[in-house]
Amino acid sequence: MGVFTATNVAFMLGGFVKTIEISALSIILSVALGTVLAMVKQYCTGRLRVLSVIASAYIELFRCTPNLLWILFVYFTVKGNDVLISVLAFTLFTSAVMAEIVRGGLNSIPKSQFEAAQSQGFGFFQSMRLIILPQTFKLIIPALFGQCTTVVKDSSYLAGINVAEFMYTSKVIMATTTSLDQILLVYGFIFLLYFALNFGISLAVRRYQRSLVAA
Amino acid sequence: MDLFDPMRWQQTLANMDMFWEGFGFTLRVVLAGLALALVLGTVLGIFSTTRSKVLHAINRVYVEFYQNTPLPVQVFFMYAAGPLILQRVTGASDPVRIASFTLGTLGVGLYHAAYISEVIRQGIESVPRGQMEAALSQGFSRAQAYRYVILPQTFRIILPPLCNQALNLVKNTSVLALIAGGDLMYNADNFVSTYGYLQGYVMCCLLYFLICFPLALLVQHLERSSSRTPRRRRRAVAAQAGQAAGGEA
Amino acid sequence: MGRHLRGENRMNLSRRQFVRAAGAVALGLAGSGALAGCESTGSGSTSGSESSKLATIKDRGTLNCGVKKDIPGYGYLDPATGKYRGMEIDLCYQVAAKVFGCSYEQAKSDDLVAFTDVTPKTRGPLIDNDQLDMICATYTITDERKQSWDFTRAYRSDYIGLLVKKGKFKGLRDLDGKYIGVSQGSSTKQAIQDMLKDKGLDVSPTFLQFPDYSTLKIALDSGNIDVFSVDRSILGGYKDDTTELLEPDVKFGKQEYGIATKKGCDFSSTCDQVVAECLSNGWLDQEVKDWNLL
Repeated sequence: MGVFTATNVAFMLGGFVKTIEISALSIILSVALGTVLAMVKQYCTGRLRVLSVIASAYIELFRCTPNLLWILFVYFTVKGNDVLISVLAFTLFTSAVMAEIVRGGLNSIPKSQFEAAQSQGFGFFQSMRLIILPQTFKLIIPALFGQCTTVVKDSSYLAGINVAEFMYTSKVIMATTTSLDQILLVYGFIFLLYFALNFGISLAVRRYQRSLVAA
Repeated sequence: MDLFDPMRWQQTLANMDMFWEGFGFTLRVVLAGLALALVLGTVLGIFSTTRSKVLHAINRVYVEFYQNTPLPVQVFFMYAAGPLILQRVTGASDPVRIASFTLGTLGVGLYHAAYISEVIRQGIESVPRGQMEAALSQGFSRAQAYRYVILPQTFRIILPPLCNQALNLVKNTSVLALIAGGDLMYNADNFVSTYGYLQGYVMCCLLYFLICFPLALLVQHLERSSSRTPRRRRRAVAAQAGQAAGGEA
Repeated sequence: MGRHLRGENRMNLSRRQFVRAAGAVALGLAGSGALAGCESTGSGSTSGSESSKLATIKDRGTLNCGVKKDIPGYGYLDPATGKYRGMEIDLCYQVAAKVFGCSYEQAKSDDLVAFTDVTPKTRGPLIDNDQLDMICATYTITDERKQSWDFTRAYRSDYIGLLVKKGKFKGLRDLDGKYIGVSQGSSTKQAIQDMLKDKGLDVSPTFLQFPDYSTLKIALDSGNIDVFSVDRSILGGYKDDTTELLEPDVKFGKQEYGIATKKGCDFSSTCDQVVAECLSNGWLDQEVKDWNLL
């Protein structure tokens, strides 16, 4: 098949690597930022209430607007290399979603855990770090990884700002073909790779869930 | 700072009909797409609760495909290959152009149908079997049991994640911007490309907020009211809501 | 969700604890920001004094150029080698040779130019904040743009082309009600409308804007647009056996490409000198032949 030459495939796979790179960085950063947001929203009461409100506002803003808007916005305002811009835009957006996931997890931790920690003399940060957060993360792993697949999928929006991730590189190759058959072949390739990556992630999650049940 | 420059704001507001046009288009795609997603999603969801292995398989394949591949890729596929496929199928002399409204509706509709079918499935499955047995023992027929006992409970459970899906659907219509679809995002992006004013994006943000914020409030309200259920149910609902909130975008 | 649970889990942060945490976070962010800053190509290094951009470039040792990555013959990132190739790339090396006082071949072999790819949307802002020293990316000189940036004299004249599928169009009159695809942020739409008005043709096509040229080509192939319109130089890379230029003798939308630099800096005159020399000694003409430019 004329379109799947070694150069072309290497070019497209280069894009795929970039997709993974951007997704991985974004996920790590958004989990970190999301956890902070969740904790601020949940636990900043009393005199620190205004921070909780700010966190809530941040979360609402990014939950009520499309990811693409922020990609375009960051691209327009921030100057840097394409990975930096992409990761920044994705982190802004995804951290809001992660915050809600973490908050959901925090709320499912039984009250007794907090009390036990306090009674043992742990301060707030210690109990969070050693007792509450580990349990929280175990709980939210399925939702967290679900969001991973979403980030991988949303990375294809980056083609709109000419970032050479997988969809963009594949489009370049596709532009060189004209026949329907070749277009279908290229698409088959694109779908296959995205599917493999995401399905792999969800399989890993399901296996993890099953191991929990067994234990 | 440019962001507060009154001259730029004036220009932006002078071009408001572009934004409103996109807004209207987006709204229409949302409604049509949501209708498609709900109908198809419900059908598929029910498939997976029947006893037929074939229907189960159909459901699984559909859901796995649409959940594991990106929406932009799906839409672009329909955009690039659709007209050519239609040309081949109908034997036309030219590629058959597909209107962007159709592409948008099909795109988000088919995509979210997969997620909605999962929500419906979980909803039906979360009603304890005992309910059906109890209803039958009380003399309800199967259909009556569904109508008076099972489905009302299902409905309450699935309402929050359904609204969450609607919220995500609204945001996902922005995919049309990548194929010159004429929706809000496309028009806003054109404005910014032509004039270079960030105000275009701010306006776009506000308009999306207009649609999405009420939906988000609705979701929160529903989650809260559904959590006023018996203690036993709370944890299951919390887990589900957590998954629903994170399970999709 | 779970509002009712929040009261049970009340653990209040004292103000002191929060300040400590915020401090740690800020430190972390600053650290990662510095790391990210180091990663991005040619970023952040603000020249400070506008008065000598030339000196800044000389100090830095590299010329930061904005170029196209998808226009064969002008600025093209070769996927096989990962290197930029094209007439504009070579022109950048000529400027670098002038700035660093070496020969053109040496500028090339010593890699004195750092290339960044730009799009019509972003090229202006990137010079403004000193991210790039110059833009050599099929940038059309217009009076409006001259107000914001300095331009050298034209190093190439080009016209707009209308790429259509073979045999579909007989003449410009057929454009009525058809879809013309253009690149976001380009001046093509205005140029076409002006041309139609000048010729007295009462046709009203619909314009659709796309983010990149690959999408435009795909849209043309799939029948979503009837015309792919952009500068002929760019079309050269996308023309194939199934497409042709509509009425190529109608030369409209004269586009003159110039090198763009930050307004009012000393570097601008250096660039202009280079272009003048390349025009007069025939180097540019040779380049046009070598790269087979339309």
